[in-house]
Amino acid sequence: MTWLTWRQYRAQFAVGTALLAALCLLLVLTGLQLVSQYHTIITECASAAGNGQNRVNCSTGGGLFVGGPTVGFVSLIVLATPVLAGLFLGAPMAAAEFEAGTTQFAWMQGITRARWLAVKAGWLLLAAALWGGVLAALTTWWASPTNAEHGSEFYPGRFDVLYLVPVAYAVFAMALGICAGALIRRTVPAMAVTLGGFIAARVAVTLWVRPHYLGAVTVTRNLTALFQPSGSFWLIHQGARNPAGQLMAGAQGQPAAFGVPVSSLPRACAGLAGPPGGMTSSCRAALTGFRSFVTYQPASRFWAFQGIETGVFVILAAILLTVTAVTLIRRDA
Amino acid sequence: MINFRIDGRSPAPPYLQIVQQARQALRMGVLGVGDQLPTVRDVVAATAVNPNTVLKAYRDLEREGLVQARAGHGTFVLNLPPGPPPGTHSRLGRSLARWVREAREAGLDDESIESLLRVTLQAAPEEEIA
Amino acid sequence: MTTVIQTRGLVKQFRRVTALSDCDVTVPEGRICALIGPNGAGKTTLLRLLSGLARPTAGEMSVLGSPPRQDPAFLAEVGYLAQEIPLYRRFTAEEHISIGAHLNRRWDAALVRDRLKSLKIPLDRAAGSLSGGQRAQLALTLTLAKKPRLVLLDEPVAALDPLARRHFLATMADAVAGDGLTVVLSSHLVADMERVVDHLILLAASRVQLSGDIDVLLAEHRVLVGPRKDTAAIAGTHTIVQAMHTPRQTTLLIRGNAPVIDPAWESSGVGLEEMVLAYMGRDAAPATSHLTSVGEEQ
Repeated sequence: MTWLTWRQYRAQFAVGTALLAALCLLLVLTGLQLVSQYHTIITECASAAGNGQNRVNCSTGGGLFVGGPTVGFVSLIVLATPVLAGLFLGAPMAAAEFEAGTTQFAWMQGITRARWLAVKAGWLLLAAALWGGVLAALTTWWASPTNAEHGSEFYPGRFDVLYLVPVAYAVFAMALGICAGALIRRTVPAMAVTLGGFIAARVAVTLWVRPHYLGAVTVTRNLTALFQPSGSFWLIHQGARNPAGQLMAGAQGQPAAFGVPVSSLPRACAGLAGPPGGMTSSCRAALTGFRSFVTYQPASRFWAFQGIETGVFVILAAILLTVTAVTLIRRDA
Repeated sequence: MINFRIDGRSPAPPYLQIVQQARQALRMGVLGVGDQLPTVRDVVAATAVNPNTVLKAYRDLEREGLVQARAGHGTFVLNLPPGPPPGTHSRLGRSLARWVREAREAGLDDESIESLLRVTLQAAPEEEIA
Repeated sequence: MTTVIQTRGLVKQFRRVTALSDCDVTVPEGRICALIGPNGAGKTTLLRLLSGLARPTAGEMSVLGSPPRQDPAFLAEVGYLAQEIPLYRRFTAEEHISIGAHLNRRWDAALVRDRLKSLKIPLDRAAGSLSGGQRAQLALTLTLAKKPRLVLLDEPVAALDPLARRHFLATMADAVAGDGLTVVLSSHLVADMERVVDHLILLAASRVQLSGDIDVLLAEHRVLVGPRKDTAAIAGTHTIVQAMHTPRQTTLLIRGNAPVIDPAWESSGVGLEEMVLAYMGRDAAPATSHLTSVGEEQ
């Protein structure tokens, strides 16, 4: 059965390897470019600091390093690739055989359907995991300059392409494809369901489930006290409350201080709208009851979150594969 | 060795056709005593009949005493069917061919020849009685 | 004699359609059994149930002594060839042989190669580029290569030309002669298979209308022709399968072993195709001159 799986997927394996190699090449080339750009900026910053031209912390690139459009483009590609495996290998695995009728040939040879599924799906899932792993490792290396610059690996969009989770996404996408193909039994509809299901699952988890893996930490301070969590934290929510406890609206293009429009602050602080240095002691006194809060996930939880998210998608994959197995074995061929 | 032919349109069932063709081959001298009949598998491969059909035919021939099945070796001719010696058939066949040629030269078509033959066959016993 | 297939009260129901109802079937060992019926009668469904690819809604089935099951021991003994000749289109005959060798306990690769060579079918061409007849022969030989005891063939010759049909049936009959195989093959044409089958299952309207040894069935049926008359007397001693009346003449197909005493009836034997057509057409409107042979080979 392993031999048959290899024979059936020889071509796809070659294409997939070529594709992965191309992606790796892209990442390596752009990554090296980013690294050199980054070092240039740091050097310039350091020399500018040496000339006394700015007082910015040069070790992080002084807030100047952006990386350009390549970063966004490559991030998008890397975000999308896990689903490709599920789409082009997982969905057709069972569906193409049903459409061609070859299940009636394969399942009358001397192997059980369970073994047929286990071997075929097993190899495909392994391939997906390897694909995801290679991509994750390379992307993690590639992203290090931008991470060092912007600080947080915890944010959605960066969290999703680093370390462990791409492997879980790839395995999940493959399991979803295999399940869709086995249940729907037609390749194109199965591919559509795989794509839609993957996007829906990733969006839903990122927006509504991930923030709650562990209870977020909320720190409340006086409005005037600046608070920034350290390291690679993930900002969930931040805002200000007035003395009555009501949430204050954010500043939208109006003159603002401490993240809120100056117009919503006591009159004693009207001077904050003017040139810097408008903070007076009367304003400070007027602001006593005002609070600012930051709800966030601390950097120390980064690896816990990577682990939990990996676990979530692996469990989802396991459920899908169980459904696949039960359906394939019990339904008419 | 003879080749059996099964005619799907003939009213005779396949096994009977095999029996008749075997008997005819023996009468005509195509098969002689001691010759081997085609194996069941040979007949099946050539005609796509059911193997049991061939077995049934050979059993019939065996019952008539014409052939004998030797386990593991095949089926062999034991005796010729009663009737005139093989040469008679060939001789009569040749004179029949001469008669047919004569009839055709006289202007008879095949249908007239066939009906003449039929009438003669039906009339012959009565003539003998007479 | 051993029974290879035995079913009782077999039912297969899909969401809105009953494909088979109350089917009782017996097939003895060593037979070549024709599964005849019009399109949609349930032939494919019955074969898929017997092979284990589908499961019955109700009823009992025994194939080679036990209900069909998905395990290597059962699969080694039962071969199934679906109507669409499912082969891997991109794989060559040689690769199919390797697949079989890898997946089956018993596998006679030499059998396949020898047979394909004698039929001049290339071993190194992709199955998708072989002709219909060549594909059918390849699929049949692959089905036989695992040396099963029972082979189920679904309309294997429907799309083949007469020569390919002859080769296919000869290969199949040869396997029966050599290995003591039992074969069930379905068709909606009788003429093709008449000389090779010795057992019959007739399906029409999802039910078994007729089944048994063909020689016995043909001996039990007779055609009676006589002047137009009441059939009550005959109905008392025989089963009337089909009755046709013209203003002057009555023609009956009857089943039964008792002699027909009434001299007004002219009795004659019935051929397989006539008998099959009579049973298949029982619910349909009577056709004209149905007793002449139909569907003769061109």
